[in-house]
Amino acid sequence: MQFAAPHALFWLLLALPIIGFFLLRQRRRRVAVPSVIFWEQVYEEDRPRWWWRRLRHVASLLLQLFFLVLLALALANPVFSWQADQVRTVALVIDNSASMASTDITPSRFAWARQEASRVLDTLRESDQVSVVTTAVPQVELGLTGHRKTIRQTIQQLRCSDAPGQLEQAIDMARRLVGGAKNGSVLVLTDQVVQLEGDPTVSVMTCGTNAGNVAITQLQSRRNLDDRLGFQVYVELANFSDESRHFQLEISLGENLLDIVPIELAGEEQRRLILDYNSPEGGELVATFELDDALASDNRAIAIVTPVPPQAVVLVSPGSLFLENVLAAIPRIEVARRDDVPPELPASTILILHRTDVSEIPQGRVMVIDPMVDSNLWEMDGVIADPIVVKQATNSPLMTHVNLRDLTFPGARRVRMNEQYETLAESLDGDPLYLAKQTSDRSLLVLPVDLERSDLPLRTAFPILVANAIAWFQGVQGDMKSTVATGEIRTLRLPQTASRQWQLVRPDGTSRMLTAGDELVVGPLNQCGLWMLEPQLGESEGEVATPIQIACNLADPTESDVRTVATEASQASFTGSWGTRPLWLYLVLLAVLGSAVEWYLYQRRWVG
Amino acid sequence: MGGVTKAMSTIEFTRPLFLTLLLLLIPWLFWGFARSLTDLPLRQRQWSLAVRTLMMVLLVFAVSGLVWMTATDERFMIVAVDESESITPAGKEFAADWLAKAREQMGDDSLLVLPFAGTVAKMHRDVSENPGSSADSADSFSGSERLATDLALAIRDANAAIPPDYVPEIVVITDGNQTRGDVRAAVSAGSVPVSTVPVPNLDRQEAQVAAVHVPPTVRDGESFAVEVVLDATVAQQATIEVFRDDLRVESQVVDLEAGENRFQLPQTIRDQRRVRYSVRIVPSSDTLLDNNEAQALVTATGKPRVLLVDRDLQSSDTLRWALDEQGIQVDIRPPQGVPESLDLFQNFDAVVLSNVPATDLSLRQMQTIRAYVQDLGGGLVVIGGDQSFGLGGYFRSPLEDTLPVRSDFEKEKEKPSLAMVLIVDRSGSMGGTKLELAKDAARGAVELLGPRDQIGVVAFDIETYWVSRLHSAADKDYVIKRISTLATGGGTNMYPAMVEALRTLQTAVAKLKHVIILTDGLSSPGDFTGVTADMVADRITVSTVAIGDGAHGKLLDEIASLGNGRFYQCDDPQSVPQIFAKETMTASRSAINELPFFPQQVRHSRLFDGIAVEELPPLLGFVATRPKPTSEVLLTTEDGEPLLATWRYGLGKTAAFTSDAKDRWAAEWIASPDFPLFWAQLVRSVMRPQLSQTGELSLEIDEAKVRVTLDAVDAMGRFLNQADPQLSLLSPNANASQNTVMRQIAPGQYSQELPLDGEGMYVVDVQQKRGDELVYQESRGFHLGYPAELRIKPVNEELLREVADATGGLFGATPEQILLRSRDPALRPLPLWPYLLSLTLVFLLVDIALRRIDWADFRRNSSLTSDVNESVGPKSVKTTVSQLS
Repeated sequence: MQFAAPHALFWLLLALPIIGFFLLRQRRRRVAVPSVIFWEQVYEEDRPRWWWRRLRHVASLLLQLFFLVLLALALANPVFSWQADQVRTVALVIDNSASMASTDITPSRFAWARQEASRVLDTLRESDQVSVVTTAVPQVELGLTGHRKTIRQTIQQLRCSDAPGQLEQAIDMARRLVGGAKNGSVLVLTDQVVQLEGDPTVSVMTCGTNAGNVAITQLQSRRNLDDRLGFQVYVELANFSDESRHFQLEISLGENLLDIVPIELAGEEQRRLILDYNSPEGGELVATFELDDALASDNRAIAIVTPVPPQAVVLVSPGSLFLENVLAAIPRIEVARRDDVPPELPASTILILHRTDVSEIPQGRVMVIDPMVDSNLWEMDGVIADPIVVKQATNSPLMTHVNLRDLTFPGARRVRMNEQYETLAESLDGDPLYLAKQTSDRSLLVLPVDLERSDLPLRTAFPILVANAIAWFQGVQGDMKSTVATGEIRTLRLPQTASRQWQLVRPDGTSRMLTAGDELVVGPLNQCGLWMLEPQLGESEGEVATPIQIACNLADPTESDVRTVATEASQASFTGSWGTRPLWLYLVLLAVLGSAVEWYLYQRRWVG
Repeated sequence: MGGVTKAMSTIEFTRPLFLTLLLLLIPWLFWGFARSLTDLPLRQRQWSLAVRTLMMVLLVFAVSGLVWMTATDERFMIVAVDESESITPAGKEFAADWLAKAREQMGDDSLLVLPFAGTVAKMHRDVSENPGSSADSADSFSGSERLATDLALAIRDANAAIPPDYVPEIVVITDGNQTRGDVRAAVSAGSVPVSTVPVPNLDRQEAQVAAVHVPPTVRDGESFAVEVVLDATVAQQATIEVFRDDLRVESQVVDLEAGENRFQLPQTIRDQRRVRYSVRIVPSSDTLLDNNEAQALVTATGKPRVLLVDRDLQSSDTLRWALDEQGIQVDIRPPQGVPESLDLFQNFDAVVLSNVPATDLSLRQMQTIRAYVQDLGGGLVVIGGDQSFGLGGYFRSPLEDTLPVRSDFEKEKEKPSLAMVLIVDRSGSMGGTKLELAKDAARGAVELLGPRDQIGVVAFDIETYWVSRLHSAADKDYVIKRISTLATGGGTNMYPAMVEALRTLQTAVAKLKHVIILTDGLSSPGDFTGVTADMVADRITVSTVAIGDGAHGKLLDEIASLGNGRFYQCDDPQSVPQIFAKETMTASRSAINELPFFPQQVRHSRLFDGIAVEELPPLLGFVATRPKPTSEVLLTTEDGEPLLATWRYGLGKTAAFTSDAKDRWAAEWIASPDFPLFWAQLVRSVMRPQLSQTGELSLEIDEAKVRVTLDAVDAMGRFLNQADPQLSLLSPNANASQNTVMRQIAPGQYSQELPLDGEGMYVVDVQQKRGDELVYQESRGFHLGYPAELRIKPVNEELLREVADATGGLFGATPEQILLRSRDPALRPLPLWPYLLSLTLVFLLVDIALRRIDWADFRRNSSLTSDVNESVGPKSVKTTVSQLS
């Protein structure tokens, strides 16, 4: 036995004044009476209790001293040696991955985990330190603390994520957290099988059943390369159960229902569907089905269909059959051919300058092919000696499915840009053969190539190059916008806007402000649904705010297969410790009880 | 972290259930009061009740866990200090100074230092333990751990270590160049402000090869540029050396400016399929040597290239010319030249082994050939001869695994019977693997023998033991069981064993008699020449196998030479089974058939397009083999023995031609005009296909993994769906590749991630089929260079600012600035029970005083005393109640 606050034993000195009070003979109240005869009679009848009456002062003193001793000892905070040795440091690893939202146990696996965590908390001593770690994005939700209310609040505030779990990393983090502590231990509450590798400090409590689940494990839409008005939808479905399941898969684009596909999936079957649709409209494509299965979050998936907006193009050219035919073949393009640059153009119109002598390149969306003279943006510097493409950008949407390597551009001219630009294709000597520049007021492409003398118009790359350019001007990024699996982090290349502030709106409606440069890192995306990035533009800036959409799905077959295979090792339950309350508390309770009894005895004059 | 963000002082109970005690206690006190028999004045009793009630309330509050949540501004700061390799001594000094200032501001209790690099070290309080001194740093992390920077891990651990009842502060002192993890993810999860302090890192004199850019594929003979990117921290001279594979092709002295320097070196590849460009620099001022080299891989497309392996190079000239005439480029090498590394096989579309015995190839070479076919889709043609298939010891070898035929077969009855004795050294040095391999080899030999053959096994150390006396090979189980009992002994005395073998074989009834001696040591002296001569006199042939350098090679060579057998110097014990198999087949003379025959076509194949098989001249011999169940036998002998068989093995294809392509058996074929076409078409049929590439293969590489993405479209630009590509990743120094199927993720798009295994050259091979038709195949090599930690990079201020902005921390701040800024206070629980108990004890005294002193009487007596003093009268004696009590 040892005391945490031994100096509190000085309170025992209060015994001296208490004894002093009892030594003080109380002077009784004087009451004048005419006779004491009856009192003497009563006195004689009461004689058997005489010895007790004589002691009742002493008994009262002893009771008060007992009370004093109990409280003084409680204040000294006594701790048994074994208790001091067994102060525990516990990291509660609570699995909040997507599969924990399964409702095969009522109300859900995650609710079970929170409940078990609270129960385990009850079994811990008050001197024990507890931390809370979650697994979806492994993080410490609460550092080590002994304050129960904070721990309980943290556990109650935890939310189940739609992201896959990273259980091993979370356990490693928890191990590091309690690693330096005496009696450190980790308790994992999960529906996964954990390989403990004989680590005695880690205990696992597993929940879940062999419940079946049907999931959309992948959804992606993509515009056809050969027909931009059409798009394909790739859907991957999986039945994680032994039984066959029948349901109807609904595909909708925006508010329009596109398709209802009857599906019958055999047990353990994985089915991949390629669905073809035609629409120039873009937007949110949703695939969903209704089925009573264990996990709901993977019964719905979304993707983004890139739109094919109508586009006005003004072509200023002395005439190019290739160019005109290519433009005519691109859907929803209205081409107006002119011999000179119109004085004013709507901001959304694309101006293509082919073999012109325009020296003042207007702002807005401009593509310059085979420029003839210097301009406000560049200087011409002769003909490129060896105009073979040896290098091309690989990560630009302008070059998707465009292979210019080894292509020779006889008569290609060297342009020296006045400002920085992005090189999309480069000659052997490093001269740009295709370049791009984008600022807040200008989108410019320069292709200093004589189309008539090169093979480019004869290649399949040419129509794709022009189509990519039109899409780039329109702000449509390529033929598809990749859906993102939950848990991922995305680096987004941002369009040129005046704003550095972006608001990230989560699928549940909550939001967060982000500050960005040319790129913005978003994530981990831990909710299924549509994430939005909205530029925060001032009213005076007068720009059109184009939000960026990110479709996020639980595209993880491992997480969707919610069947729990609980092994014997994983069922090891966490053993709490007895004597969860501190010793002082019991001493105080004893004092309370003693005081209550003493009160009664005193009032009834058993003690005095 | 959880908890309250805007702190306000509050009161709370941690065990509120105990408050219910008051529901019992207070009525109890009042009930006692109401039924009180005490004679104290009512007012005093009321005070007593009040005090006692208060005491009870205090005690119950104490046991109910009354806690005062106080708002505190006390900071708890964790300073994560980058100790990775990229931090220079000046950077360490800067960090130490910063910490010292922080310590002055903070005091000792609430500041922890967390050293980190690729991992984190233990947190400590003492600044003097920390970074500044290199010795301490070296203790914190191993060399490999210092070759990485994991900012995310450091911030996560710092987040975890801060107690919730302090105002948290995390400070990261780093150059911001993370090489592992993603710090953005780490800060998005936490809510603690992370202040970032950049350290200077360009103070060391350094030059590095930042990158070598080459086009992934070029055409044969095409000119292309190798772009070398060099970074330097100071202007200096450096020598650039460029190696194409192992050949230096460029060396020049260049002037480097501080910052990035780019050089383009024109190159052309001829007659090579895959070329590795290594660029090394020798700077005049440098600190780190590991970052002075980088590599890149270029694949050239052109004529198909074949590796022809033959132990007699000149005898394969005819085949080489034939293939060359048909537009196939041939590299001819002896068996020793067969690569042992898979990446070197990438140069070839097929491998042809012409009469190559397995005993001439190491086990590793054979395994590599197998992996080349199985995992990389390479082609293999094995051409027969007196040293191939069974006669070459192919039995149970990795080569036999890949072939469509087996080397063992049912021995024909008319073949001569064989009596064979194996003399096996069982001395101590043969223990372990060697003896087990010898036993395996002996068992294999037993299985190759026919029912009329006999075999005996004699072992020797100092003594001679019959492991299995000469016994009919028809009873294979018995002999194999006996061989299993072979165990090691001590000493080496070979002569008595040879005498014993001689005696036994002298009495044996067999047309052919053969002895194989296996030893790894020096034998005690004996008349080896005499006993061998006696064997020869009795028409017994002797072959010898020396394992390792310890054996008496010269003696064994002499014995084999004298005994009309063969001597094998065997450096790798793993090849012993192949030697025994070869010897058994050679000695039994059963596998070879040297009678002229006309090849018979038994199956139609495009391989014979343009060739009139029925008009082909006769072949003069072949090696007997047995077709495997799923193989396709295309040509046979007139007796139906397999002559040409093919099959698919893994991703590749192999063919076995059991006759030869030389003047021994194919003398008349060589003169045939169909000879070049036949061999060219056979080789082309097993080659990796050359396809028009319509897909786009992209690789995203980082230090730990590569993500391979294939965008697959057909020639019309339509997506190729539901045609999962096979992906193989060949790691450096690996004999087997990682194989997997790529997962479709979008219309026409497939992707897969694979882990990488450290520095070196990797080859990614992707094959896509639509149905049975191969529609896409591409190999792409890349080099994973020195760790990113060794790259010279300026401080990544952008990232550090982003981290600070995202979390509400400060960038580049001093400790004072961090500590002086306004922060929301934290809530700290202050348990009140000690105060409550102390107060109770104070009230205890009051409680007792109220009982022991009659305050009314006290006041009355005080006034009475004054009255008595004032009026002197007769003394009245009064009996008081107290006298009776």
